[in-house]
Amino acid sequence: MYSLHAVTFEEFRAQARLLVLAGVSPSAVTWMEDGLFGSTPLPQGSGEMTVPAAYMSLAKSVACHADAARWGLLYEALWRIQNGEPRLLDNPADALTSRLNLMAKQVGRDIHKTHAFVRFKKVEVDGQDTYLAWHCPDHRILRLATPFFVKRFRNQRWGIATPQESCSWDGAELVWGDGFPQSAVAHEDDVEKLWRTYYRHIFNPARIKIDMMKREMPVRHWRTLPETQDIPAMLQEAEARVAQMMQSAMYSSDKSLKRAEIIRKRQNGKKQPERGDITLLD
Amino acid sequence: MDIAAKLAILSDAAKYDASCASGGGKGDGLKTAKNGGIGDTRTSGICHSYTPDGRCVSLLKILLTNFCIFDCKYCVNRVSSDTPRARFSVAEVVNLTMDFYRRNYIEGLFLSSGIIRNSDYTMEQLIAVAKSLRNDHGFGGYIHLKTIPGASNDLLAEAGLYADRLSVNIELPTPADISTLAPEKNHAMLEKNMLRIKIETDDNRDARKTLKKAPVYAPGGQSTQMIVGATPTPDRAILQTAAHMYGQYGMRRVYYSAFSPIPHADNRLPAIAPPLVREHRLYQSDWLLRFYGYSVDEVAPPEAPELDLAVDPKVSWALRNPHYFPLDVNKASQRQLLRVPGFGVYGVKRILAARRFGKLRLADLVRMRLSLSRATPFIITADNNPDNKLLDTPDFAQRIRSRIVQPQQLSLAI
Repeated sequence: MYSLHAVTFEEFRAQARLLVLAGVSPSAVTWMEDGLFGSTPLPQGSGEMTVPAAYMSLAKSVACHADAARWGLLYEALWRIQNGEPRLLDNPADALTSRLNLMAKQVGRDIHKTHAFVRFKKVEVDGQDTYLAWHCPDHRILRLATPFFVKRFRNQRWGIATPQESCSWDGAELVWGDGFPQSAVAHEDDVEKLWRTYYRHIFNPARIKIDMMKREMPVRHWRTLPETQDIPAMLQEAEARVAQMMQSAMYSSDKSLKRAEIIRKRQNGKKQPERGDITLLD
Repeated sequence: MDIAAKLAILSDAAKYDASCASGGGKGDGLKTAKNGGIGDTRTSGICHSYTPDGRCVSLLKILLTNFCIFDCKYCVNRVSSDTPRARFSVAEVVNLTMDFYRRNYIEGLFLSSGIIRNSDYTMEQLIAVAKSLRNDHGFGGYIHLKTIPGASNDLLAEAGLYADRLSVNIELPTPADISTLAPEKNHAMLEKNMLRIKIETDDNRDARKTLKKAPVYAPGGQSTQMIVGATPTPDRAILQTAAHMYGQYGMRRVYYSAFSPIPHADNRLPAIAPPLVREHRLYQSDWLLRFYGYSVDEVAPPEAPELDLAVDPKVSWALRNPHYFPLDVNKASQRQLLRVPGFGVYGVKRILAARRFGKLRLADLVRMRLSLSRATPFIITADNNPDNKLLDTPDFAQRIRSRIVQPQQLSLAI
């Protein structure tokens, strides 16, 4: 019986390889979340082992999943692939494949939401503009999520912290560090106020679909999304705003109608507007 | 007027444009960075936030100005409206875009404008913003420019060199609707922009075959939008116009915008809650036309020109065509399976893949996360599926509908 632990995919991979080569079946391995109780010495062996590319890419995603069962499931899949089922992952109706696909999908979604929900605040570090964010993903995905930011913000100094780990980019190199349990950036960024203004005003109070909003922007992420603090007030005012729209729907003021008339005539070339007639025109 | 006050007015004015696409742009992060710039675009866009109306926020969507010399009755910014007015300078829009982008709030800018002075002058202003973002700031993010009806061919050609996507709204589904509600516009003038954008796109594609370094013209393609429910035009006519837009101009997307009460509206318009369910059914139908091989005649036939609000258009078609079912999931072709209510493009792919390993039963479909709540009356599986006997009953349509329709589906509207 083997009792093993891994944090990263590389740690898992090195151990799983030796286990498969030594013919250790999945039922003989227990994967632990941490190494507090030490690990069983691994079987020593050597040999060639080829793994389908599909397994590697799936496993790299699943390895980031928060589910403690991930290593056991990945080992079971590897074992079955090496023992007579090389096309296991091609069958979406297989229970194990289906579960791994779902986990990979959840990780992929978490990466996507990290790309979407990271909100940088601008601060000054050593006299240079630096953009810092704290984000709380569901899974350990920062390493898979950062290439996006490196590509997009290569010429900008930035840092992203998560509970699991953190990284910073100085314009040339990515440096990794420990996680932060919560945000350490207690700083008001003036542009954030403009962003909230924009958010309040791009909202259409005549169509309310709160479920849709919550499905795509889960409430657990709201604490790091500054615009969401305005949602209660936006919803509270919505009904009155719509009622007011309906009420004002019946007329235009004489001034507006006159302006329309003047411009219509000018468009038709009948009359040039007099100075001061239509102050609103550029 | 300070920036915040202008931003409030000019985003209020922009929210009736539904387009939020931010994928498929020309941005190349590495190349942008090499030239000292910032930004990137991806194959598929990113929704950075959602407002309580259920719509995503992916772009800074604003008007350059909401002053307008046109008098389109459905528009809050028409000349005869009492709405408060504002105008951004080119630099103000550019700085806002960069400030938001650097903080990862947005994928880029969607800039539109009321028509000031004349069409060409307005179009020039929009181009000036895009040009400054690209040339002065090396901006590599997404830019969507609304083209102005009546703008010259030269300006339409120039706009596509800076923008990832161009659009012009067809506004209303029929020429008659337009002449009633938008006296200065007509379909011919709007379609002239669409045609010009298509010609530029085609020419550019040819040019780039021989000259690889030629700049890309609007790689995100063009899109358009129709207001739904401001006139009595039926869904069939709306979908016919959409099919025309896709076929004739290679539209990437047609957006449907449920007519929503606007402040200071013209009294020729209905003061009603926006028809959100109808808008949703139109989007579903649009998907069926583009990805599922349906025709307008199938989705909204002459004898049923309005979409069924209670069930989705695929269910409607299935109930009108019971002879097509039940389909055997172990034998039917991809084309056939795509017609099963509840089966999506990816679900059908999984069925085809899994079929090579053995006969599929209902439990296999559940495991592959196919939605069965609507599908079971229409399929045969390797095990017993009693639901498909429903089709043999005389009142099958009613019975299947009552299984599918849940009261809360109708309460989407406020």
